[in-house]
Amino acid sequence: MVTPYLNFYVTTFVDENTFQTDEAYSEAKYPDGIPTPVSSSVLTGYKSGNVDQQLNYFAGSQYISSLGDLSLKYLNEIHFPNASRLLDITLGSDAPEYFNAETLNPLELYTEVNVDGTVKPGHEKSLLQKINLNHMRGLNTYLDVRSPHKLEEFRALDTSLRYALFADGAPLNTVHLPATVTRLVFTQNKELTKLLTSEPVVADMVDGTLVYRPHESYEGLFVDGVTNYTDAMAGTGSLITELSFEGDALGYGSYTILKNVVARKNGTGRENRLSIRMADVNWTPYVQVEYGESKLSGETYYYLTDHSTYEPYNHADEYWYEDTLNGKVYTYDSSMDESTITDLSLFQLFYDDKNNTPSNEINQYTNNIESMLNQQTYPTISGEVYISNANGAAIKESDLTDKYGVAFPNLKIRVANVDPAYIAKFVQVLPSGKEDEIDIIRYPHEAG
Amino acid sequence: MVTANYLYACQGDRILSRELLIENRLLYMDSKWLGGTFMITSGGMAGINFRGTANKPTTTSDKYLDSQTLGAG
Repeated sequence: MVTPYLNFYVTTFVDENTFQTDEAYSEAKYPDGIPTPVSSSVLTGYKSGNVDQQLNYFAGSQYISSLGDLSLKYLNEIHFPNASRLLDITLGSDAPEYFNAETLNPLELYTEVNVDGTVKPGHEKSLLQKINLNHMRGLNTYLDVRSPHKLEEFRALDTSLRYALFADGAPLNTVHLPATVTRLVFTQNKELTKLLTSEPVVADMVDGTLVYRPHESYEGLFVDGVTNYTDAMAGTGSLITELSFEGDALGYGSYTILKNVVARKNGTGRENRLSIRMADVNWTPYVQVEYGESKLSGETYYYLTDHSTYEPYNHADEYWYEDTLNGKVYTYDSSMDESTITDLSLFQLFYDDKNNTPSNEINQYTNNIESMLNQQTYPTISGEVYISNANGAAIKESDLTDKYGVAFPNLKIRVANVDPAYIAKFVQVLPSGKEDEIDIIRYPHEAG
Repeated sequence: MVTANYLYACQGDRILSRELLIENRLLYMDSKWLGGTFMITSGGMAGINFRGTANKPTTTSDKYLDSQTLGAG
């Protein structure tokens, strides 16, 4: 089933035989694409058992929107260089028991970009929305899919994919990756909001027919062995060497991924290092009220204290704009599970790793796995995190500045239960009334 | 209220409209008569091509072989 870009005739070449559709494509008549004719002689040869391959070519390939489901062709070689109007690429299948372990040589989607970020001439696939490579077991390389910046769906379960690079800001909402991936890199993919904790099932066989489940049921990020982590996997080793999430919309999801990858980590040395770069994380149920928002009577607000805790907001209305201007007022998002983070153990692990590693050895959790022995670094984590330790031990407030503040200077740590410190806060009051924080020094009580 | 009164604004100016009409009409004729980018020569065929496999029961889940034997996969 082929869908042309406009109402064209479709011509295919199968093993050098030419086949053309009897009529031009019409979307009203063929909503799923126009069937391409196949000659009975080709089929007979195919079924004889003596033929082991079939070559297919398409005329006017830059005017084709979809080639339909190619999974039953069991491809082992494909070229797409100038198919710039493709909307989807379906080489694998969601059918249970389907597999294609043919050696894919080459499998070229032509979606890569040059080192400088420009798209290779003629390879633009800016319209591409879906890629399905499920059960293509011969796929053991990495894929650069940075040119389709409208990509929404990428699925490659049951493959040996090493990693996939996506376009910054691509509206990805469904990404399924196998256990063989070594890098997870997502930059500003704001539509990727859900984490799938069990292996997604996309379709079922019902009376010999493939029936797809609703898209909502398999939408989200799934990484085999990471998002479906169980305690039994602890210390079993992980192939992942790089976690890079910038401006993700996963909420606590990116913390869960980080925690699971660290829990699976096994072994030390250069080959087991983990590079962590997580920018603008949002690991908190508290949502800052933006300056300019009105105070709503039915909403419960919280005030961020100087001791990095939240308390119910009870200021008089006349302070509302001053407080929101300084980012002190928050609402609580009850859909976020704050029990995900109840202590600072993960941050403590990263802190100890850096500080307890002798200077002539490399540390394990870093922001650059290529760094040299004398360049031990902390992971890069920035954004906001809330430690829900109301029922746990109090966190020494001075540690937030002297310890974690040094390791993660751009991470704002808020806690539920704090052992408060003496605070010296230096601010510059701007003409607008906004307080620009210059420095904050926390001095532990026990120090006198 | 839905109105089609301003629909003309969506089609661009007359020059663009005419260009698209002619271009798409020529592409349509090319697709029918295998001309231009739809030619059978390398110009058309170099675009999309792939090789499918058949009768490989061990490396694919293709079980429908004409020899009536089910594949190992």
